[in-house]
Amino acid sequence: MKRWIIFKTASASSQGWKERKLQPAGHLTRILAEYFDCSDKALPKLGDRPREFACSEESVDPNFPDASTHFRWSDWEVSRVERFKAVDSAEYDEVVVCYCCYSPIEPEWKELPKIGVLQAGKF
Amino acid sequence: MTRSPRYDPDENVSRHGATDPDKCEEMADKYGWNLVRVEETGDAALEVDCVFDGETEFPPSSHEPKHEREN
Repeated sequence: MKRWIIFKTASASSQGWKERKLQPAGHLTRILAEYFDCSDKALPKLGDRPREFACSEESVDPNFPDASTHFRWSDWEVSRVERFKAVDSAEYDEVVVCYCCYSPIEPEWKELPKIGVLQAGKF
Repeated sequence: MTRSPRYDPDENVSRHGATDPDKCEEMADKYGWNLVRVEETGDAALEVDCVFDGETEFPPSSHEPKHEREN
């Protein structure tokens, strides 16, 4: 099953709205994160949080200088989940919208694992 | 005010380099993974980093010699 999971703010004027923009158009957005989920794991539920990513200069991998180095659980918490199932043949079997409320927590940055490099012909 | 978040603190992520974003979605679809982020790497060959939820490993290929699978 292919699921497009979208985390968005509960309202357009939620915390940080001025900095939340879609690129390259540059217009404001309520979207915080999106996942392309082909796993069979449970959907996000109330209280769950998406991840946030950042780059620490001290931990940069010289082979991948633009990639993030750390992540943390977001200050945004899922408060409502709406599911939309495909009626006909579609790219996604289901679209899941997770509305989030701003609920800041103590940031706990964790180092990301190294980027795996697949040997030629294995994928 | 801060509250304890309700999430699994042991959840982690895995990362695989790829040449373009389509490859990330192909991996997710082929292996049943949850793709949580795609970002640029700054590398000329593997231009994107595919970030997946949890631990992800490619299953061994039946055409691959055993000694290479163990590598």
